Amino acid sequence: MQATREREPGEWVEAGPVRVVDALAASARLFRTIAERRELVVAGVRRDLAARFSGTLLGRLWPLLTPLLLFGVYYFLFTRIFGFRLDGLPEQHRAALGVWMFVGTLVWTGFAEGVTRASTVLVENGTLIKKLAFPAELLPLQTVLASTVTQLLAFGVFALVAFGASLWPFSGAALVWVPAILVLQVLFAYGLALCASAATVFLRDTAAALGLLFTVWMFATPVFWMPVREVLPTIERWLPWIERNPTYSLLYAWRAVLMSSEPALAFPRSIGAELAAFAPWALGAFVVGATFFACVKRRFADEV
Amino acid sequence: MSAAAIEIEGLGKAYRRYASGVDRGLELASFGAVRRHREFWALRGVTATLARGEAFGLVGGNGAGKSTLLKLLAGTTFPSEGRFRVAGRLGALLELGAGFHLDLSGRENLQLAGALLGLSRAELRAKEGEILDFAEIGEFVDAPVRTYSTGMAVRLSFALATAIDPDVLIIDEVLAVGDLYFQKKCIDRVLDFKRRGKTILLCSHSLYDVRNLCERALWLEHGVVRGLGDSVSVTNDYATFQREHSDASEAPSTPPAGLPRVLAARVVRRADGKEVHEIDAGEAIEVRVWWENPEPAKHALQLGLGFLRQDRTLVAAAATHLDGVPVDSRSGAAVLEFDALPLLAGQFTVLVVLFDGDGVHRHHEFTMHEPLTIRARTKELGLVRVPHRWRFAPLEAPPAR
Repeated sequence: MQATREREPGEWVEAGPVRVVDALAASARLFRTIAERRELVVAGVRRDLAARFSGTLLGRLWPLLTPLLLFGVYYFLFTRIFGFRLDGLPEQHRAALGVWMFVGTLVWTGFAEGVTRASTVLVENGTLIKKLAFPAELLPLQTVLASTVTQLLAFGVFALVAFGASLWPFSGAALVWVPAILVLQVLFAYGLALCASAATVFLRDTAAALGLLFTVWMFATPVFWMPVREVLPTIERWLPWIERNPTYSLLYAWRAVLMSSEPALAFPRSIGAELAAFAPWALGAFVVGATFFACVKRRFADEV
Repeated sequence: MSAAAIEIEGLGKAYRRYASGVDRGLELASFGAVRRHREFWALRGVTATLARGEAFGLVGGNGAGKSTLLKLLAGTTFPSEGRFRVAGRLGALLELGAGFHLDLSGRENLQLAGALLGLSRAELRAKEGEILDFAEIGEFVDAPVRTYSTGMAVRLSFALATAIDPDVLIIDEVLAVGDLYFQKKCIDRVLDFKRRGKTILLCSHSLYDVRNLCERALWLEHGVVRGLGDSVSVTNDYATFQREHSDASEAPSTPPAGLPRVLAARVVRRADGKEVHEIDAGEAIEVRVWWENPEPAKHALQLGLGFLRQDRTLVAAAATHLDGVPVDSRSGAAVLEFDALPLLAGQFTVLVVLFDGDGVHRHHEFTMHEPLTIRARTKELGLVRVPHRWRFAPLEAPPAR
């Protein structure tokens, strides 16, 4: 049962491979599709979030509890156990490394989980794709958005605990960057998710390989370490390479927004510059992902 | 805008078959340079035009390509050759209950499925009452779909799918689901669509439904068009084909030598005296029967003839002992004449029986090899045409029960 709005009424549906030009055009139209079908996207995100915690006693509290616990662990570890200090930081901010890792973990999880979970989303919804004509592009978007929402909830917890309890100085004006970073992060993750989900339809190994790839990628990104000489003396010669990693820029931007209010913590590059470095990656990933998806989506129903 | 609701030009769909996962992987890894698949054409060379407001039937056996055609039109799969277009909003009932999540309640599923169908929240809210009325699921609306009976899930699904009010409605076999009451409700709704000038493409195993609801029909067999035209003649042709290929003929039992037996039987059209296997309903025919009886003194004879339906139900019969017609027991022949055979469309087996003198013991049951096919030119229903007339007059009050 369906109403097909994907194609215009009266438009010829022709056989033959999708030309790359048409696929590019389709990727441009994707924004319109998303806008038109926003209710489907929202419903999907809700369902995704609800399904993950359905049947649990605490239900919707879980997405809040996890970051709370995580923050507690990092804070405790780096203030009490390791006694790790960054030079020049005031006493009350000796949890800097803990906060650094906490923010890094949240952003990385928000990004990576969205993409890796999206890689199987088409296969999992095979019946839907076989039986209903609807824009399948929206399925990976739902997954990506759901994990972005989880990430934002966690940031909310962070804001409450860290800013609220004065464990960390309030970010202030830097917060205006949040929408821009979010949009670019979603665009980047969505592009990769489109690629990964479409590829998994044809080759199920993709999803498994992706898990490994993201593990390697995580360690290549300063999630759990600081790319500064003071902390890691050997890092200097690798820095030019490390900084080319798009997720480096993404994490840098988020951390700069949330942590640069502590002057002793050095963020030499501006958020704007870092986003300018990230934006081509995000746009590129989106265009490539959406184009690839449009090229192969006609075969989904035959392959899932 | 053209007057056509659906235009189909040389449409075909090939599926790829791989002998193994390795072949599949090889072809993918080489971006198609290495071809390791075999093509299987589920549908090929279909050309048809459905006019606006027309009800169009689709018939054919299993694996004939009906579902593939509907899926192509609905847009869940894409053609391998040819092209088509659909004017206006398309609604397709390919599978009832597709897209329902068992753990969610009926209402939640309505919202989710509605979003999939492209209904906005406002539109859905406006139609919710109507959908729930039609589905008749009562207080179950807030219970998980897992707890529904099949009928309830099907009703909800059908109600939602038709509530979107499409210009072109595609229905695949779903009318066969559910109880009679629900089927009637569905057909009423389909008829209502038809009355409002919507275009309907109905795929059904029920030739009765196709004949009854549709003006024209398409018959697919092994993915190619076998017939396209008015629904009565297409379903007739299909029914003939179906019966010829169902291979229900039994090996004739020949009685031992020395006993009476039927040698042959022929159906002959009286208009031109030619042997026929296919006639129009109401035609004048005769059945000629030849038999031998080596010992006429020992075995007296009575002759019977019957028309059987495919399930061996006797539809009509005549017998000499019942008609009080004496039979000469020597070897010979007889002719049974019908001025207007009142059988209606279908295929009938002609059975000739040689009885003993009392009409009790059967010496030989002879089934004619070729069945007799009756073509209907009308939409009359049933197996036989019963003479009748209608009269409208004021009657007294209905009798009290």
